[in-house]
Amino acid sequence: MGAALERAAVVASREAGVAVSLAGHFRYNDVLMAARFRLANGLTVLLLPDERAQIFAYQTWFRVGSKHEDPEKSGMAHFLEHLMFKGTARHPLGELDREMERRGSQTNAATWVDWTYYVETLATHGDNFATVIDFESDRMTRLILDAQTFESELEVVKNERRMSVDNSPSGALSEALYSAAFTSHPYRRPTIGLMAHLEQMQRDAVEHFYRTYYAPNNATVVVAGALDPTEALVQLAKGYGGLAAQALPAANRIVEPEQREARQVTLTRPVVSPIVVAAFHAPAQLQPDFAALELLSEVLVVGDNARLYRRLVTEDELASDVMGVLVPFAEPGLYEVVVNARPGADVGQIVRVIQEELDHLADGLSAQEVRKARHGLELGLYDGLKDVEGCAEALGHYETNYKDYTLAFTGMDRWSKVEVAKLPEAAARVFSPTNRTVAVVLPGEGGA
Amino acid sequence: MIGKSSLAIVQEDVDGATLLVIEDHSLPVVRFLVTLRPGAESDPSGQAGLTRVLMDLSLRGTTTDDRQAFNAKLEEMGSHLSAVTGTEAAMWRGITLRRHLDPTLALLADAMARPALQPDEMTPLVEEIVEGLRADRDDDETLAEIFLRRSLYEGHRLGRSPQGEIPDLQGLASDAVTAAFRERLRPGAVVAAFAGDLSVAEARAALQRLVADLPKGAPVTSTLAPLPRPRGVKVVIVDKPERTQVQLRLARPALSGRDADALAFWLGVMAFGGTFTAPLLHEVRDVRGWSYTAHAGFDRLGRLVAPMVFRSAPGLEVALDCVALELDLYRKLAAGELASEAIELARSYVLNRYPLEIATSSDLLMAALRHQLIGQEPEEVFQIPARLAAIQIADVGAALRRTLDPAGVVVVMVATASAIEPAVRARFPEAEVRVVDFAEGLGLNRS
Repeated sequence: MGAALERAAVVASREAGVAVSLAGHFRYNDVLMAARFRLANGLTVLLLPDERAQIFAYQTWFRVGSKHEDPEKSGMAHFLEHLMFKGTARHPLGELDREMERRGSQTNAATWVDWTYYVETLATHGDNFATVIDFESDRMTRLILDAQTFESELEVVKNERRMSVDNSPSGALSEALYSAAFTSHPYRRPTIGLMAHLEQMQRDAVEHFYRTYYAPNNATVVVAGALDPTEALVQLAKGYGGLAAQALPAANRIVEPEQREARQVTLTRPVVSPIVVAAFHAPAQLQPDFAALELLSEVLVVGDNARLYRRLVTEDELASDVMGVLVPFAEPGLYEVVVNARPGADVGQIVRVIQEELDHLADGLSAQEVRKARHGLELGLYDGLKDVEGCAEALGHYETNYKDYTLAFTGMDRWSKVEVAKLPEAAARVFSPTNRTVAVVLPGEGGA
Repeated sequence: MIGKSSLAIVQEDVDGATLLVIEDHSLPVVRFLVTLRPGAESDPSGQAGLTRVLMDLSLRGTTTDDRQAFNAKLEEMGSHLSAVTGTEAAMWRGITLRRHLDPTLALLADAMARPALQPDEMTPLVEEIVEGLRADRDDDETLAEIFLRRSLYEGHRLGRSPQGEIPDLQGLASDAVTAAFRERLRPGAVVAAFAGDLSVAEARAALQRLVADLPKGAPVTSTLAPLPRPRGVKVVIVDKPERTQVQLRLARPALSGRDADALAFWLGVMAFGGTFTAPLLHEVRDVRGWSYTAHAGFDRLGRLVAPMVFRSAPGLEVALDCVALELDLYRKLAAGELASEAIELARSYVLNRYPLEIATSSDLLMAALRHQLIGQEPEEVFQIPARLAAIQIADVGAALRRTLDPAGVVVVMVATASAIEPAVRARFPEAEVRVVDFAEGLGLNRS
């Protein structure tokens, strides 16, 4: 396999006239393997040949998210994501959407605290692949931000904020939670942006942000699907090889101070049912306790017999549902226990029950619970690999955050390395009451 | 065997039930959808929620295992099994590691044939469903859909939520649930669909086991009264405090998926509002920046008549302008005024997108199942591209004109009534305007 991939790099170098090198490969099973290549301008290319269907997913990941923004200009990374669909000199406004839709792909994108990515999925026929390369390589560095489009799209984003935060109890709660739980780290700022900052958004500042972070050496192109790796690599090298690398800002890593006392924030909104979130500072995805937390979360919230579900919903009848949210942040983030409380339920009692159950983790897990957690995570891993979009997303996430795409396939190794006997210690490190921030939405006036 | 992609659908009759199988050995996982027909549409008057309760209750213990033991076995395998109740059908939906397929399906077989249906499990279940229905009102998009259904089908059984209505749920007797379960569970009411790392023989054996202990006999059927059709413009303001944005729906009952016009009508709706470049999104979002989202939809695979719905969320200050624009666009659509370029672009989009929609075994399984549930052969999945390609431009306009009445439409606005009601009445004097509280029907005293 390695020799064939090395040959693909040689062929791409020769045909595109730019240096292309193989930077690793990984075989997962008889069906799935992935390879990483680098172009001379620093662009990372991940290829995952997948013949399960005659389609391909094409994703462009940039190592820039809302954590990279000026604290007084929140929402810029996300707003720029919207503007990326507005055209270049070669492909004017509307052409990208029109051309992709004609070919059966709706363009889409997402912005998060750590990254931004753009996606297309198309059938593998005709010149679909070449066309995507043409559009994506063009807008990577040649976007045009005209004033009229800027203003119109800014209204769209403000309206998106109204929908996802200002008129959404859960969205408002999430924003309040992160703002309270983090005092210094940029994770405290909402990716959608504060309305006051959106009102003040300036075109030249957005353009500067674009010129700073959108460059081949800050990007990973992931292609998963029914494509010949050599032919795909040749076309990618031709499409992107001419883009220039640029100097990137040094990482400005801010370490959140250790939380030493419990915090609480309460909102009132016109809701029927209160929402209670108990959140704890949690390790980043590659820190050792993260895998432990994944196992613990299965035990706490997944299934009818999960500890928190059984206690809050079934036994004490304080809630109608409970979920656990463990987002794979690149830097230390939060683990959230989200409770849909019954109307009139005592919020203090809910928090006490959550903490009691978390404290009980000190007694260890039963063998049955450990099997449940491992099997559940194994199933989830396969579910993420069931289609080309899931495969591409997993590769892009791990490469962008950790420069290691192989982590997309090795979850089982990480979970199997967790020592069951040490799970109580991991739980104690995370689920301390002084590490806890509670955010609550109660019925009442206020908000939007 | 039917197959026009790398995946093939196998359909068989197995002991009176219907089996669909798609083998896919790329990952050691099996998904299954065991469907029971009909769905919540068959809930008798005064018992809205009966199907939801019996489906959920079946997973809360059997005569073999109580609730905790049942779920402990399931969870230890990492398997997932849940009940989903829709209007037209209900289903047990599951996913399991290949190596745990047999014991997972053994649990489901027990739930189908020997559910405990204990009253002491039913009482808390009903409370949880009621709380869920109450919590639904806290999300404006869900709220808009609830009142859209009620407003479109006022006085009709389809106006009820398939999850139930709170007064009916609270009055539901355990005996009624037990009787309904015994009456409904028949092999002929079951369509079992499997996709993943199993063979056809294994799937056949699994279905034989699922239906082996079910009572024989004809399955129940459901008959619905004709649907009401809106005459004139009916505006329903769902009053909720402090809204700075309006969740807006504009809709009219359209067609069943079995109707000869369904595919051409659907293509017209897609051309009008099913993509980013379609006229609806272009006018609302690109030209005016009024709403983050604006699209039109129609379910072409419904057995019952499905509505055509515009969905958008304009800011409060432009909401009435947006309603006026959408009404104008709706009237043009109902008159069949759709540019042929828009139709061809939509056709190109849906034809080229189709391979993506049936790319995985689970996607293909769901598509095949939906065709089967509306009385078509599963192989129809593979005929859709040819049928779409054969539609004439004039067919689309004709289907739109036959289906939509330019004068009859329902508009639902989740908004703060005090901020908008007088302006709505002044701006649309011909409309019937009604204001309802967002918590109507929840049985809560909010005074």
